[in-house]
Amino acid sequence: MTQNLPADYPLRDARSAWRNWLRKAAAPDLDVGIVSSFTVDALAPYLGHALLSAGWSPRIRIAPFNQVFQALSAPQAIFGGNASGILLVLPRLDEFVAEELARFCAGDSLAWTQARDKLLELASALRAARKNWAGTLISGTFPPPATPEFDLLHLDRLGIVFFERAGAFWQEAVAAIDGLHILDVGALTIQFGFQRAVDWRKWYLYRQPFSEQFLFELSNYAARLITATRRASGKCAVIDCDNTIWGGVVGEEGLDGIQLGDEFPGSAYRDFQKLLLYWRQQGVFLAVCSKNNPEDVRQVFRDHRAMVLRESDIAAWAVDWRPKSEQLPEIAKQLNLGIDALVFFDDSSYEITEVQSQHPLVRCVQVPSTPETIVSVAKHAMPFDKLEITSDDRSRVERYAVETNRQELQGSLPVDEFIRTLDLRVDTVHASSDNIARITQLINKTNQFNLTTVRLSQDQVQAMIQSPKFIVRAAVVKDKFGEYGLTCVGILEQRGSDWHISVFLLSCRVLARGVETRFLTDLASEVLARDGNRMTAEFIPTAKNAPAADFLERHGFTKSAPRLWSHHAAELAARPLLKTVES
Amino acid sequence: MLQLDESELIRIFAEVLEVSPETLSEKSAPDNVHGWDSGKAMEIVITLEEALNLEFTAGELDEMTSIGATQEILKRRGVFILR
Repeated sequence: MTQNLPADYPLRDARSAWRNWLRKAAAPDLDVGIVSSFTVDALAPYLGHALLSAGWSPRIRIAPFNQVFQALSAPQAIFGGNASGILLVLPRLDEFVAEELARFCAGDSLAWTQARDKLLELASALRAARKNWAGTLISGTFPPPATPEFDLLHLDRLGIVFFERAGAFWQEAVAAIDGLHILDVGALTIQFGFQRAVDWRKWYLYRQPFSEQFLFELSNYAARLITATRRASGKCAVIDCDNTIWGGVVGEEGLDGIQLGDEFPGSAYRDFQKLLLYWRQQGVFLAVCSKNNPEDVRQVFRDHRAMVLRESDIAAWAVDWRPKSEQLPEIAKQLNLGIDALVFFDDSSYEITEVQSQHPLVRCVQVPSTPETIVSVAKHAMPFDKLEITSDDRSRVERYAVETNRQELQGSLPVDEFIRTLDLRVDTVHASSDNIARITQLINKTNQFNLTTVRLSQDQVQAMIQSPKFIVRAAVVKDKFGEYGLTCVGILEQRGSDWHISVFLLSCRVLARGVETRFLTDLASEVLARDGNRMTAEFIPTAKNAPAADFLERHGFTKSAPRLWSHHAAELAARPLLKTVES
Repeated sequence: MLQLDESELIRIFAEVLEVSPETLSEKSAPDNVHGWDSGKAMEIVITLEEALNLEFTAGELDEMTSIGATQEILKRRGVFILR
């Protein structure tokens, strides 16, 4: 996955890629339905292409236009009964409150109240859809109206007042709906330019208001949001140094020769460092991967007055003369991450190709040779997109420093003894609206200690929390070195008289200290509390979950069918803490 | 002066309409080509605009009722069609 320079005709290529895909009639793995107050058919090829580029096999269905209320009253009808689809709702003020807007622009200030009531009705329909349907629900915000009376720049400012009121009201109304995602079409229009967004020819001929270029941008933005609802983002930015975070080659030009500072081009590199530091604050690890003399690089981090990043901001270093494809796995190992969690930034197409050929799962972003575009290219690659940044994310990088202290202690003690000295606490908690975002995040990104590697959307988790047939629990872990936060997730499903472990996972940061045993004990107690007896489980092997391979056997589960393990909840619940932990 | 091979023009129609170029002629129109709906019509126009770097008016789009009619409008806009 490399970010390439735009092709000559990106829109035409997108349309023809989508046509070719449709001809293949491949099985979809993502079902997207679009409900809109205006004709939106031309969006499908671009959205389809954007989702294909993100690695999905999408199916796109478009509900008849301007039947938003009908569609929201029975979302499953759009998907032919499929309950796990993504419903994208795109409303415009033009269709919902055109008359009120016209009166408001003519000086009737009471018209706003009536418009507000209508928007409230639309919000209620969304809330009802959210309640009655388990799929993913996304609502757009409003683009500026394109009605005859409306003028964004009218000197009496009535139009913009109405538009801003409606926007603020809508943001608040939809934000209050739990589990609804917002696609900020209004913000996209600002970014793109309203005049370029509208194509009057298409409006008058086909009731389709937007230009192809705008639909293309809207599609990329929507695909980004859709992907973030379903897939883990990158966890570590691996950065080259020369011509990436500063201009020039430090090994040749020396500490004072490199370009970094207040003046262009140094200011552009400094801004890229600011972006990296911002990502670090969002929980992204930073690692340096550079073919250089280690001392030259360290000296820049230590002594260059314009450096934004400092040595302490970097979680892992690989500075030597080996191929970068060898440096990267080492960084992943050091940070306890899968190789696919790395996002590699380098200015050299050679290095990018070399890494890509050995590690196709690593996301690569080529830093452009025009410094002024580095920040926008890096941002546009969106490698660290997340719907919500949890407090857990924000403290991750700090916790890593704590982990380094812990590893030093571990190095000097036998393992059992080490665990006893930790003062480990595992507090099992119910899943709720407070922690569901983090729970979903763990379900979708945990690769190593994960019994089944089942991935679930937040909406699916929400449905399980509300169902009596499921037990959804999480655990918060801490020890004397610090807090690890919410790091365990378990989901049990009632199957006849058995309770089946459909999800059991631990974040890698709490591995190898007996946490899984305590968490399993707590889950067994929950089963007993519901008069359950037998617990069943399955280990589904993947390329990465070897750490969980012997978990069932270690805890006394026995095979009751070729792939099914079982054990008695009473025995599991009585198991003394840490007894089965092996070194 | 802008130039366009007639075969290239037909190829653009054929690609968007997902039919073989041999089945199309100047007389081809929404009435006699399966699947030539308003969405396809718009996509043909957009593809032509991209290829020729010009922009038609809504009135011109309305007149593009067949391949032959489209050629006439292209000529009016100064595009020389090579046969």
